[in-house]
Amino acid sequence: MKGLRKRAAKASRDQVLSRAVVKACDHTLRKRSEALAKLDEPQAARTAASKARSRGLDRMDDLLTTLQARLEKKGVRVFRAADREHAIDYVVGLVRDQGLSTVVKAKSMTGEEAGLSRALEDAGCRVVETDLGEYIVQLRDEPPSHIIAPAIHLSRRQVGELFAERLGMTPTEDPASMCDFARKRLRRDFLSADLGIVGVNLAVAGTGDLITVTNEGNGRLCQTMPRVLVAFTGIEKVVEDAEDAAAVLRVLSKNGTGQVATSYVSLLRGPAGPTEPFGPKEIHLVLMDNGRSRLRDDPILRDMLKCIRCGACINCCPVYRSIGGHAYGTTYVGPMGITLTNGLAGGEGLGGERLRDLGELTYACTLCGECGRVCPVGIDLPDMILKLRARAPKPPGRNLGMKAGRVILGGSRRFSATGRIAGTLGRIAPHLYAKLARMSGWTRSAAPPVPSDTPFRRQFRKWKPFVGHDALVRPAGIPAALEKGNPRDETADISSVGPAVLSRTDATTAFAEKAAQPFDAFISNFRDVRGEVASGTLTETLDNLIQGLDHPTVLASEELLTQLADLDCRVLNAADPELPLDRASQAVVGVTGCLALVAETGSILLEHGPGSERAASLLPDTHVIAARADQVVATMEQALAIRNRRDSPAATLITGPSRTADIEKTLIIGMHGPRRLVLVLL
Amino acid sequence: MKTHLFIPCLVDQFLPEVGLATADCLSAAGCEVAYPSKQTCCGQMFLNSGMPGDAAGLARAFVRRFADATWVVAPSWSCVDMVRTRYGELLEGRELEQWESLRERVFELTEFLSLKLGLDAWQGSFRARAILHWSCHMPRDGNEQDRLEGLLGGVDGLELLPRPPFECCGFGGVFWNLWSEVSASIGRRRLDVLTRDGPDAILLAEPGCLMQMQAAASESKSGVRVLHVAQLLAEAIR
Ligand code: SF4
Ligand code: SF4
Repeated sequence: MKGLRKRAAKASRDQVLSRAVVKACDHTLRKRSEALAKLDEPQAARTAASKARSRGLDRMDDLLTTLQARLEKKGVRVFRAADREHAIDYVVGLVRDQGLSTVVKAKSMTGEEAGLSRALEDAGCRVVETDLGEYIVQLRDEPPSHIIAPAIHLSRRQVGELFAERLGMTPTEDPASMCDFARKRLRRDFLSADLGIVGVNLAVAGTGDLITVTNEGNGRLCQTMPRVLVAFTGIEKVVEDAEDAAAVLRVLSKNGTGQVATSYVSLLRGPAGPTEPFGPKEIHLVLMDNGRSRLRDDPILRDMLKCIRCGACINCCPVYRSIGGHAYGTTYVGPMGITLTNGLAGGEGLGGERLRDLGELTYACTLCGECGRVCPVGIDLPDMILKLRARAPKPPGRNLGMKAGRVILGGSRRFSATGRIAGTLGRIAPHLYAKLARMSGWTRSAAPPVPSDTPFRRQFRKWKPFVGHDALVRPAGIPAALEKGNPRDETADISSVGPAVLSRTDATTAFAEKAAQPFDAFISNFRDVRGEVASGTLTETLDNLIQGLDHPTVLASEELLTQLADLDCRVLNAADPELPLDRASQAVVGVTGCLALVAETGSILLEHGPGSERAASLLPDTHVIAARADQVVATMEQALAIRNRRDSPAATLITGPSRTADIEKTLIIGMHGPRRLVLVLL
Repeated sequence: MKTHLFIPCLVDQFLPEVGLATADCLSAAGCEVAYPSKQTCCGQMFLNSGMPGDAAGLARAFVRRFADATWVVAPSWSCVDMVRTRYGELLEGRELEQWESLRERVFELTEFLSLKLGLDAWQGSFRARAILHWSCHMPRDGNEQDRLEGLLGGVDGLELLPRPPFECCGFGGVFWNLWSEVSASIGRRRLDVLTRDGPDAILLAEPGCLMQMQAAASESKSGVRVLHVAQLLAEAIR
């Protein structure tokens, strides 16, 4: 595929592009190392995640059936789509039947794969991409250039200019102002949309929870404000139970964005109750196959279904770092893009483009091995790429060149003679030499290296053993047989990218101390993700927060209302069936209780359903959580177990305030959700 | 101790001086050095080009040529890795059997010097601030990395700059053949990282990467020397 190579070469000349991409990828890899260093046993975490994914795949059909049954019992409509056309037809049919017109959409790579947004636009909908990065590329009418960071290829200046040109914003290079501007615009869309679309990171068969991981809060808003929700994902996302989900969540954000946990992990297993003021009244789950079943039977590529779309392999790929995502011309890019594109639907229809020669894509790789080293679920990407090369038909010209090379190398005489001829030609007619090198398919390099006039084999004939340096004489006794593992061993250093990480002993000690003190660990981790711990009582804290504000409104969970009776402001009951949207959305502070505090990550587990809140933790600028110290649990598994004992339709693990880093990886706190997260200990 | 040189095709044709330096190092360390002249190539480039059948032919030839050697030593981690970890899938029958014992006797030069000869510090002197580029097939294990740096640490006047964050130099064999322009752009980026602290020399232990960095350095006119570790070790005691 000449097209691919040409695009890649062109992109590699674009210094601005490569600099932006490398800077952002390096930043994420650095944070990744730091986050992984906080695990006591990074290797064990990786193995556990890999096993969790394998279990899901081994029993995929059964698990999907269980999942579907569970969800349908709760009133979720499940649609199994054989391919992208079916998936799209279903969603388009839905908007037509119900006359839905404004769609707020969170990031979904499966949606990108299917071309969902475009199809809905063609059907007359206004589709608003609400993830900041997706929003930016949508304004530029481009596909995302990275599965995690869609606008990674753009500088802050480019985004500033885009916002000025397309949205009429006063030109700026300040990411915080751009985020604030986008927040205000998109908030209007969230409040008025009639359909929300989200992706799903994991579908838990054992509990029926659909898990969606986001940072900005846009996913939660899509899942909370519109009446109808479509969860759109691939069939391979299914895992057996909550423990397997926890094992995957433990490695996902650390490898993806370098966070200990993302701001929001939403768990959804059914529509909102009829008395709930917010929350989707109707949920559709689209499970798309689109080549995944075939992939499962592919001896080379099967493991790709384990992929959790963390993007770590992309960040470290030298080729991606030089050419960015668009040059690939595929939905999935970088190492995982090479393999997935080759596997899914034979590459047809990916990103709307039919690749002429998937084989060429496998050469977008130096075989450096780095992607295989970083992958948190242990997918041996380089080996897959190598095997794909063997399977793909080779262009005839290249085959001929390689075959000739094989003949030449078949004998040392032939090899020497060819070297001699090539060397002579290279010295007397370098241009012709370069031309022949290119034509033979040996190299496209502008200045191919020229063989030496006396190759090693000839020079060695005159070589004399080294004499006169007795200092180097070998010590007596040669060490015992080499004790060295297989260099390709999977146990290879998982945190080998970026600067030095904490040594294993430091990390282990740190974790042991934490485990002994879950409460202290929780507080320290909560502060690390920019949570604030209030020193006063609940009323004192709220008094402070609303002080000086003009007619402030507080939106509170029902169970806390009595404690707030003395507050000098309007307090709304977040569970009130009659709660009007316009008043709820004016609240400056939201107050909720919680189900648990998670020491491992500094997260807070909240549940949503009839009688509890959905919007108090989401719409106001500040979210206050009232909790008791005895609500601390050590691990994510324990938190999910608590969730499973409840029957509420939705829950969220909240880790810090809402945030984004979609513009040049600059961290901005407060994207779509609360800007402050304040904990009050009762 | 008798050693057989395994000189990769790139070294034979393009970097003969690296092959000679390898022979010098082994000889200085007290080894007898032989070169089986019928050798050509380990077959790596064919395997990497999706031609395992052709790679297998070269693997068979390699095993036959070196079957009787006590120790086989090469100035390339990737060729050694090819022989050690990839031949198993390519060979069968008698050659597979021969390979099973041969693989334990194939070493990269510095690995051989330290592990087999027990040299934990080289001698001699070489005045330079140098930075070592960790090629993709070089050890990623901290202890093994320390061992290699320790070997270099014995050289008087050699200041080794801290390990840079890892990234491939962009050579990749067949990648350089087909995606030359992208390959060169990765090479330039790597050179920038390696020369950030102004070293006098970049050290490598991989022939392909060495050529890639030499090309990038000469294009940039940065004046930095690009050397194989074997060349440095040999020069240090000359
Ligand atoms: S092995 Fe290939 S695909 Fe993987 S990181 Fe290296 S160059 Fe990229
Ligand atoms: S292949 Fe591995 S590293 Fe790459 S996105 Fe998937 S899970 Fe992450």
